[in-house]
Amino acid sequence: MKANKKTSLMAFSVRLFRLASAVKKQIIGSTFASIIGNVAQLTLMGCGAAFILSVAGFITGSPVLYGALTFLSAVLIVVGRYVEGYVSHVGAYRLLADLRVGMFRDIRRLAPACLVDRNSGDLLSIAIADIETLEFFFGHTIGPLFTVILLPVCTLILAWTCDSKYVLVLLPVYIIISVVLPVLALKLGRKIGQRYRKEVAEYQTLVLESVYGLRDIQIFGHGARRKALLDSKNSQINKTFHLRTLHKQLVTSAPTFFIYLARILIIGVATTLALKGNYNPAGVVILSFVVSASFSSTQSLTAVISNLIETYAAAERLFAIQDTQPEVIEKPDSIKMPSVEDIEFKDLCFSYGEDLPELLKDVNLHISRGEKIGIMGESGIGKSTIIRLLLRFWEPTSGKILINGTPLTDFTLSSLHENVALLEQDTFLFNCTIAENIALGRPGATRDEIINAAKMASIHDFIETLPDGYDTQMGEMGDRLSGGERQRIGIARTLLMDPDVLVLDEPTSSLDILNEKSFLKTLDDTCRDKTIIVVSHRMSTLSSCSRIFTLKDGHLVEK
Amino acid sequence: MLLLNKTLLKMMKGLKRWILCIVVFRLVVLLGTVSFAQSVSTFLADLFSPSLSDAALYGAIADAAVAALVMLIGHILIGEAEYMCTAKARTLLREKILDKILLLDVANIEKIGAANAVNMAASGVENMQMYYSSYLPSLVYCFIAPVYMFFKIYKLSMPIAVLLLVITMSILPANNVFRQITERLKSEYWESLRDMTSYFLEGLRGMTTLKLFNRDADRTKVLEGKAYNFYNRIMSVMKLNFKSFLLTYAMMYFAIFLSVTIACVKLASGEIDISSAMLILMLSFSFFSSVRELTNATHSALTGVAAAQNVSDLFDIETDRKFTHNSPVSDSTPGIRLEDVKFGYKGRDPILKGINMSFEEGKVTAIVGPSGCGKSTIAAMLLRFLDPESGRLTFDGRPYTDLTLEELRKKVIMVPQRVSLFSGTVRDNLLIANPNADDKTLWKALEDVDLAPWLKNFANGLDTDVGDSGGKLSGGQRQKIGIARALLSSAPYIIFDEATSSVDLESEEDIWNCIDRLSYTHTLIIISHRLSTIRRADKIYVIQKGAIAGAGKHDELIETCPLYANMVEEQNILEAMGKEAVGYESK
Repeated sequence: MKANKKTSLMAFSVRLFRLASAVKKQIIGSTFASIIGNVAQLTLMGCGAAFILSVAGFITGSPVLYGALTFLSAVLIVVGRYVEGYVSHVGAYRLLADLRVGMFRDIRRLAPACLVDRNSGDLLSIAIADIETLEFFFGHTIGPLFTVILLPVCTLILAWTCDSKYVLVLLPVYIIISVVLPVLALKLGRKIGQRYRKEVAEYQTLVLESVYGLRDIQIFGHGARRKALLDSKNSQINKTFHLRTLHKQLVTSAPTFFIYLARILIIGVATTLALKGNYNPAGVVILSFVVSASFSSTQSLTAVISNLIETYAAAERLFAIQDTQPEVIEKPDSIKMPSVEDIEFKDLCFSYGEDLPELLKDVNLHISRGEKIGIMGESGIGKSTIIRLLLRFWEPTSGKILINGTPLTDFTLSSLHENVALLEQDTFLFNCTIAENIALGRPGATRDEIINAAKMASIHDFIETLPDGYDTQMGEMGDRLSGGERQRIGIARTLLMDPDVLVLDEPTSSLDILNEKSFLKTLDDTCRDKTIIVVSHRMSTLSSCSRIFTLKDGHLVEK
Repeated sequence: MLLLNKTLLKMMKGLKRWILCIVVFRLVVLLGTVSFAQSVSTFLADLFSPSLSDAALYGAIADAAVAALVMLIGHILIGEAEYMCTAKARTLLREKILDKILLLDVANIEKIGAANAVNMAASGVENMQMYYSSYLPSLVYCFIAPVYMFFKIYKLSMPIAVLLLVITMSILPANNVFRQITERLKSEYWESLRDMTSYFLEGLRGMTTLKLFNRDADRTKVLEGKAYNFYNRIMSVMKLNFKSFLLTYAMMYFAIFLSVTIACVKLASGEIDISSAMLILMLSFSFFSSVRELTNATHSALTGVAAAQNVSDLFDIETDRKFTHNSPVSDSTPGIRLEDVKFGYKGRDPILKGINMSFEEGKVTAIVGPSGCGKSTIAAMLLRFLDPESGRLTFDGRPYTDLTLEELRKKVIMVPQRVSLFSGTVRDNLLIANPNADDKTLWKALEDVDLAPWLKNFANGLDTDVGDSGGKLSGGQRQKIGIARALLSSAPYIIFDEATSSVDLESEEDIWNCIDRLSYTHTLIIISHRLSTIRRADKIYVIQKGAIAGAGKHDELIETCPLYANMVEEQNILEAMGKEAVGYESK
């Protein structure tokens, strides 16, 4: 999985905005509310000051009017803030739900080829923690982004009406606070954010492994040392977090300093103007209050920035998955695969990458219905690759696979899976009942059908001994059954699917001899009429095959 | 607003100091803010007075500059204190969570969910520390800052000061209306997050299977339901949170408006001057900064508090083990004995119905029986993963409960059905059993389990990487590492719990040869469903439905125990199958 590491911040923001457009209504609504709330903040201070000045008689106008405006501003602030907060969160959290489902779809699209070298703890950390971090962008960034432009502009206009000199001193400060500092902060903090997210994910992976290996840790009293390892990772997180805190404090306190500077500068300008004798004291007072309020939004922008560095890092991890191209793409005009009469491998070549050795060289093989084919060879030589190509985990580098004379790529993947079933080295059990696990391939199967499949796979008697029989929960960690028992559930699963072709990838590699024998017997008894392709490095597993091939140096030779 | 979480509060020892520091530094910043407001308002008022002088103005500017500097320094100090607080909280929370997890057994972990446990320790802690570094300081500050502000405004106008203080102090109690937030966090938010997380993780791990069985689309649909359920739950919490926010802000801004109005009335009647009126406007706004900070802190602490509910569930799991001291030694013959051991889960048939067994030192004892007969429960008891409901186990005559877990596991070690490996090197994985072993010892152990020739193929030798959770190793190699670990731990008793049921044929042979060799140096307890492998054991226990159906040597059992004889017969037929057709030939 490769992604362009040097994606610019701009490109990131554009992409995040594009994601946000899915909840346009909420974003626009909350931004609008945010603008109202922030402008009202200006008018509250401005009208409040005018209220006082009018009472004191320094400006004309009715105090009641200014008082009423002050009250109205207060109401608008409260309503604006509430609507902004609520609506933006509705949008943000809905988006997060979509992103999580979207990520699962991406993984579905990429699996299994692109996921072999991904760590599930890391992926989980992206799906849950990293995506949660994005809430910040959608819920707390977009509103402030607009007001940060609007409020200074309003304030500058007011300043202009007082005296252009105020604009001269205010403008640089606004530019520093709203443009220079945020950009600088993002640039400086990006690495820290990336490091922090990465380290938290690494920590998560370590814990995941510890939880799954808990028993061994306990047996060897390894807990203290495992903890020490986790502790050192935790210290790393702490170190990075220290940088992150420093960054946050600088990013939030530097603007505060400039804000006070701006207010001092206004005093300075007012002083010089006052000493020259041409000034408007009431204007200065109102301006001073408005300026102080105008910074409330710019200040929140800097707070946003300090969190945004983490958001970008999280987004980067998510985008890397979204950008990965799947190995296999289903053609839009794919057709449903009919009953499989014959399978032909034609001049099949394959390597896992351009610079990696060619595993298969011109493999040719024709299989007719009902044949039992065995493929043997040493481990790592590419036997499993042949059947993975048949199941379209990957596409061949050259050559093709034909089903009933039609290229494999013409068929839909789902009909391929219906007709060609794979029994893997280890059967994965889901945390649901044993009956549901067997019925995986046919969710509508009746209990009788399930029991029948289990009987054929010689697992029925065992299931009956379980406390809840077929309704026994398999548990999250799936370690209640031995390898042999799991394989049998796997067989029952495939039998219930009733495929034309059964492909077995080292089906006995996790079975001892006793289990292997009874497994083969089951296979013999139940799959007489099916086309079977067995891949194994063990001759004994292939004992019932009608034709046996050996894969050596990428060539397939019949025995 | 008021988020008091017992679990988190209980764990705040050692953090109080830093929380206090944060509050103090915030007060420093507050002092700066107030003095700045004073300078500015004095100056603004002076603009109207004819006595405006250069010196007064420059003085005001200087004062303001000093105040701004004080605040800058204050902010940086707050940051440092916050960092110290989070760092400490992070370490503390993780230590407690991991300590507890390490005491759990697999069944317990499934109760809380493996994915959940992991999330809790990793990102959960990242969220929880916000409670200490942000929420609690804000809460404390929220009680102190208004009092200070009160005395500042009191000098200007008593009624306004009283009004502001009363309203600030009633904001928290008023928000008590929304106290269900904490409840919902637990029952709705966290439950649905937990549900979604586990489902997601399982989907990831089983993705290939799902695709092969065309169930990936269904899975996505269910996940979508769970993701949206989580969204609804989180919004139900947010709704309340924002209602509380609305109430708070309404009270706050109404108070500001009232203060300004009162100030205007007093200004009109001449009770206060314009400078004071302007200062009131500024300070009334600052009066509530502590409340505003608290609302923000509440928002960011919500997920942490939700995570803490999970932690409290974890801590509630009973892991206390019964221990005794210096109990009288009944029978000091070396070995492990089970005396009338019973075990069962509530509402289910008992798993063990009063079992008596003895594992003599230096001997090989096997336990056989059909699946579900209770073999693995016995193995779990021998290592004290479980304690019997009644009856007891003894080691050399001493009750098991007299030994610490550490002592026991130095004597009795197990090679489980599926050995767990950890990312890292072969060396790392071996050192788990004995951190002080040198390379020579490690190689010796690898020789003993026939792994040395394989490992020598790699240039890195002991430093060869085993992949994510040992993914690069085959089932057989994995089990062999498990045995090598048992050897390195130098425990005299080794339990093999179906140690070869998931390995390939060649490794199986290697492993049984190795077990044979071990029988001369160790006391072995072998649980195996393959009877031919334990034929030569000194004693075989046949277990059926939680009771002993026979005990003795192989030859005796063939005669006396029909169950055993039957099982042997069936297996012989199976093992003979296909032997004529294909000779054993590997590779």
